[in-house]
Amino acid sequence: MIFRILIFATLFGLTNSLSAAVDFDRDVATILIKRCIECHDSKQKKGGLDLTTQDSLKLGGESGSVVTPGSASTSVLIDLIDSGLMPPPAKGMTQKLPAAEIEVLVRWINQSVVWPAGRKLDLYERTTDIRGGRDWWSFQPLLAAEPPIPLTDHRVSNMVDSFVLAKLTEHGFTMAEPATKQVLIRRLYFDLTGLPPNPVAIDDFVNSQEANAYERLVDQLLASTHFGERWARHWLDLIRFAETCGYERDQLKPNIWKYRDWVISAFNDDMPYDRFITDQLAGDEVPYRDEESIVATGMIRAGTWNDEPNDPADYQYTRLEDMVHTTSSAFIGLTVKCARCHDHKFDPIRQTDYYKFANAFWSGFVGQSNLGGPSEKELGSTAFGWTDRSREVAPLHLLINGERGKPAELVAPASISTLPRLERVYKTAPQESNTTTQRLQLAHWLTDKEHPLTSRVIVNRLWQHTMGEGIVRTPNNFGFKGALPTHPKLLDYLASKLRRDGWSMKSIIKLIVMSNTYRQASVNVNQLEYSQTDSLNTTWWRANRKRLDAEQLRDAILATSGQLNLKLGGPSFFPQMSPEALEGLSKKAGAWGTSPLSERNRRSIYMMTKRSRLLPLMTTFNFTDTTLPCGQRDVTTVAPQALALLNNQFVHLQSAAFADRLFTLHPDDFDEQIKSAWLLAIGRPASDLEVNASKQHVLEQQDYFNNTVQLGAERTDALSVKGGLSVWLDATQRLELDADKRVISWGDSSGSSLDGQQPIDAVQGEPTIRPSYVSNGLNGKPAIRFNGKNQYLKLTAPPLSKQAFTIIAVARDASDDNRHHEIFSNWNSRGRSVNSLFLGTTGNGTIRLSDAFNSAGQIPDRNIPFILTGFNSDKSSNTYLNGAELASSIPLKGRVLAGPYVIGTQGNINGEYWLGDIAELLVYERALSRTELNQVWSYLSLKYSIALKTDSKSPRRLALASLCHVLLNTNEFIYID
Amino acid sequence: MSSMNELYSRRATLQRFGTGLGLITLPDLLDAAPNPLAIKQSHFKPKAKHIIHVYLNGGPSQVDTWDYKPRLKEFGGKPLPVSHPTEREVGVALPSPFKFRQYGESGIWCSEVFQKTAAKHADKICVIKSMYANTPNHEQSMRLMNTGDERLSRPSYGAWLTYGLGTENQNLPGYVAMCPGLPVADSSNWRSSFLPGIYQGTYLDTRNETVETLIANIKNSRLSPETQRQQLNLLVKLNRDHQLARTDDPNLEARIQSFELAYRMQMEATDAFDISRETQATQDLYRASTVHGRQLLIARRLIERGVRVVQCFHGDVQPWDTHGDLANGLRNLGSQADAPVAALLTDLEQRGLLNDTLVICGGEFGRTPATEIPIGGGIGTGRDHNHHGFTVWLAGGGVKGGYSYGNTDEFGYRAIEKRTHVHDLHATMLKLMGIDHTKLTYRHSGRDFRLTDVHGHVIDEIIA
Repeated sequence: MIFRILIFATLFGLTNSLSAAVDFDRDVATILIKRCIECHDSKQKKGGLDLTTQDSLKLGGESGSVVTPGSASTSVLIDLIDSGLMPPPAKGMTQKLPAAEIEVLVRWINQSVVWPAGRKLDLYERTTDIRGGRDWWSFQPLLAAEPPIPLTDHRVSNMVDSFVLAKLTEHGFTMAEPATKQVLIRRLYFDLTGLPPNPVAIDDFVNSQEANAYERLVDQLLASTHFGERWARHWLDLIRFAETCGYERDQLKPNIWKYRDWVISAFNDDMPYDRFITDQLAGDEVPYRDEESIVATGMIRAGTWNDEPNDPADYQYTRLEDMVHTTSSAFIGLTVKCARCHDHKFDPIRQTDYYKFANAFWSGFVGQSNLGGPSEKELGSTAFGWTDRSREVAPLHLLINGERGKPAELVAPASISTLPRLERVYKTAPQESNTTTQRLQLAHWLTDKEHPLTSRVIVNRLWQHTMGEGIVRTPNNFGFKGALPTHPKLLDYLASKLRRDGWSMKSIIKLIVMSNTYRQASVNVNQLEYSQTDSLNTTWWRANRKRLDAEQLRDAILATSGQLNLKLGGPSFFPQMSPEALEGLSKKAGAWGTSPLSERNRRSIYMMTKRSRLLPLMTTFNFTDTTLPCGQRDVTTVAPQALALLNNQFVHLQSAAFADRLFTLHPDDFDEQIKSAWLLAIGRPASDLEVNASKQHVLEQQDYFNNTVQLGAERTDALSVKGGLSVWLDATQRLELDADKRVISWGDSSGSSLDGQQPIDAVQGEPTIRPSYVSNGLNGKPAIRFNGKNQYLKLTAPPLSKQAFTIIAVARDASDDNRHHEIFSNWNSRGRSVNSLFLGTTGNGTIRLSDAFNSAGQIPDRNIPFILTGFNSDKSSNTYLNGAELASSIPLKGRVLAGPYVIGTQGNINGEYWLGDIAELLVYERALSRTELNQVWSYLSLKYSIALKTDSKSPRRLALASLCHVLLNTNEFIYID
Repeated sequence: MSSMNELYSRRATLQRFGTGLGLITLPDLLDAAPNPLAIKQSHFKPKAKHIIHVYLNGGPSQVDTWDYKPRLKEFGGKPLPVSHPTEREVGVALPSPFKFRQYGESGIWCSEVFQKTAAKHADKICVIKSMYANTPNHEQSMRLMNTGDERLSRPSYGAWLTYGLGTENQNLPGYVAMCPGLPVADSSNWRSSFLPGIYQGTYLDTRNETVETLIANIKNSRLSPETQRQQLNLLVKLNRDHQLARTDDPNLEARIQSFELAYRMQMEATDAFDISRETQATQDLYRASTVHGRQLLIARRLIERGVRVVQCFHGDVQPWDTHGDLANGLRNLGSQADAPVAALLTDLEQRGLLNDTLVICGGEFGRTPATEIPIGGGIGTGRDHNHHGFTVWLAGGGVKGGYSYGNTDEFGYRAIEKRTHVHDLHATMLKLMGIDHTKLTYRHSGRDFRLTDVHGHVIDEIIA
């Protein structure tokens, strides 16, 4: 007791306020809520004591009364607190209240324990310094604010700037200078489309004098189909998207790529965000239910799924938690999952709230077979989507400690108590409904126009993915443990605008990128000073410099090398994995089916995301984890990334392709090659010094390659490879023409007759459908010209009898349609409609080498003469254009090789006629070796003046490729100012 | 200890040169930046130069390994008179199913789980039995043990050490973290956070066995080292020029350095990580056919080559998290870890490396002496997390051998004597490495940060 008296004396001396009147709400309630009622509430009532109401306080605890009104010194409450027994020590540390708080309670008791009538304390009613309450900023209604700096101010482009400038001014900061146009267009392209601008687009923009050139560019990029491909990726991270289940078997989730395409389209179509949420949660329950809306529900089951959990009954609750966690963090930035086992430690989310929320999914096919969801039949669709088992709500009990063995009360579907103004109990579904409609009602609650979180959370993400950091820098946590908004009024302004603009995300993105804040440079002349107090640039005194993420990096490399295939949508492609990366892939997971080359060069968002086998190049550059919602990717800088960019085969190939591209653009102009390299890779003209340094590098490297590289085939003007040659049609010889110079017979020069076989000629007996001979048809050389309507030739005998073959044609495709055109074919409607052999082109110059290899690469410009090769061995089938591989696939098997064969049409149908010239056609009854191929190509190249891509092996090209490689590795390439 | 100032004085150097590539030649450009991994002066004469941390992730049970508590038997099946809040609900006392005995001249107690290590090395080991942490959750405690802070985004102690001391081999990363898969809290365990990226731990997935798979892309199929150097010369030239107008961005510098390190790694990594260059006897000693043996053998090869800090996490996620079936689970884990750990100490000693190398073995916390009540009820066969008291042992690197420090209560529940917080362990590790933990700081966001924040007391008593 002496001790306590001492304390009191000290308190008295310190505060001299023993007589000041205590305000219950202001002074006392705060302390009780923060310190006491987590245990001493009406539910837990530890020690029998409930401190939430006046009556319960009077009742006291197990050992009787705890307060004596008017006499703190004899009150047990003070005794316990003062001695440090209450609150009890935690983690070995005393939790004794600070003297000032004890003093308040002493005064309160001495002043006869004032407690407003009917007042009931609630743990979550207000925020304390250890826990967020329902008064936490993010749960409050959006506030409208006047622009703090008038929109007429010359520094202000729109409302964004007004808020940002106001804060900068508070700190005595000024914005950085505007970024240069070159910097700005590169930044905008990457932010909006994930791709670099091409030199023409840069030139147009930089040289445009129009006042609204920037806005037009913004509009153009927002309207681009590539916008959705970029922004869908951010969303896929949030909903832990991948195309397989993970775990041991890692099965493919069939058709889930349709969900990915749905997200891309939703962004491209600027689907209103409320609809975007609703379809993903309840596309099977909406009145406008259709195939698309059902595809959208794939979100719910895009997570991992274990087909052999230790305890299947427990596992259902794990699945449920995944759905709650994904949707609550993606849509409202709250960690609702923390309340599965107990009331949330930091946010006003009760344990019952978790179960209220979880109810939305519990009536679905949680933890069933069918890869954790409804079967196609149950869903009524082939989509990989979600639905309920019936209209009956499946009972969900609160689980004590989250354990299945300890069910407590039944929890009815309802909204969470965190937002009392929006609180509602969900209704039972109408009689005619097939589902519970709980998810639909959850969606309605989320998209209620008064919901304070939904709109704040999404506009924060839109800001984050344009500016580099969110206004709230913990994008998936708007609760107590999250970061506070750096610009709360701006956040509310954007959130309100989103609703006003019909939930249009593009409208918000446009507002952001049109701001001067976005358009400022990434360096500020005052940065040394500003970074002293704001090194994290929370006030936006400059633009953040951003490192390309894994997808942007890979896509940018492909775009720069000219190899990017911009095909939209459809099933994912399988990237090529090194044997090392595939090592250990369990047989259960199935073989890795590498896609054809052209497919492999598609944008990264279309890359198969197999959870057990993510492409190392992507994970090295901080690809998302895919098992948990990811609101913000890590950005690391480590030596393995440098090793990947220095040595990975993909980067070598793209560097070589980039060099080829430069040679194609400027065949004989070294200076222009260098300048183009810079424009294409870095997006700006190189300085003279940079050009010189680059040239010097190429020359140095060329010296090295001059000494080390063995050239391929010697140039030759005669065909030297004749073994296995069964047909050789050459428009310079053995032609029989009619009076109109039409081909009666194009004779075989293979010399097969020499070894006892008949030559195989190409003939046409019917004069009206004979193709014509032109003496200067193809790069000045004779060729046979086909009219694309009805002209063709027939081979007099089948040239092939084995599956292995090599077909080489020198031709020009004059068509400009998207239809099929054939060079060589034995297609026959009678029994060979799928297993025949043909070589030809279809839309946009895409090669077809039989129906089994029907997307076999593409001829970039089919109107220019080319050497096209179709090849099949027991190891692979390949197509080559001008000596460079276009595509490869598994060996073609089971081709029916019987005749008749035709030249210039598709077998026995009256169609798919060739339009253009064929100058030479060689058919070998075997797979030629690489050296033999080089020899044949070299001969044809010289004869027809068609540059071979195999020339990329020349020292100069290798040296240029080395420069390209360096440029792709520069900081200027990977960091966007 | 002004390494950062040195590094960033390079800005001034660059600025002195003015802009433009033509003004300075390449070697100047390279030299202008002090190598951030170069050896730096320590505060005191170090006792240890390297750390190998055998990380038994998941929370190994102290009362079944190094903290012998015979009284648990008395209470077997009965409630203990003491209890402390942990993650889950616990029940009655669970006596250790393992046999204990004393080892060495020092008479250190150890169970059969680590009998090989104890039998051969008890007198080299310093057992700290009075460790405690803050939270009975893996993620927080992993971060506490590895970064000194439960929250996200603090530099790991390995990053602090390479920042403070540099490293002896410029051809290898200064800090390597190995794990077959990923431990809980993933890369935050070896992050550099606000320290420059070059100090981040280089993570290797040791499910991969060959050098080529362990360190992807280690070989260049196209260029000779000389021509690749030409490429890098041009690259560094272009990057330096790019950096001139962007001097305050540490990421740009980190990336430049990462290419230099990558280049140098190609020279040495294939050798350093190739355990097939060891004799069969050594491979057998470590049981190098197992992932644990392989990791520790690689660790020895790395510190032998001058790598500053090597962490070997026992396994994917948290293998030592024995909530159930402790008797079998722990025996199995011991059979994986014990022989390689014993081999490591033997090998280090034979090669004269143990004096210079601080070996640390332990997890993020320990386990309760009471059973954990299983989900759904029933009789508990395992133990819950326990941050109130656990054991970490040290060996070599200037610590007293055959020494037992601190104690838990009579049941091993809570550290009561010479309580040692994780911060204290960190302070002591730094001291052994020659660093005053209060003076190794880095200025970030307007304040000076350190590994131990405002905490940490060096345990001088365990230093030889």
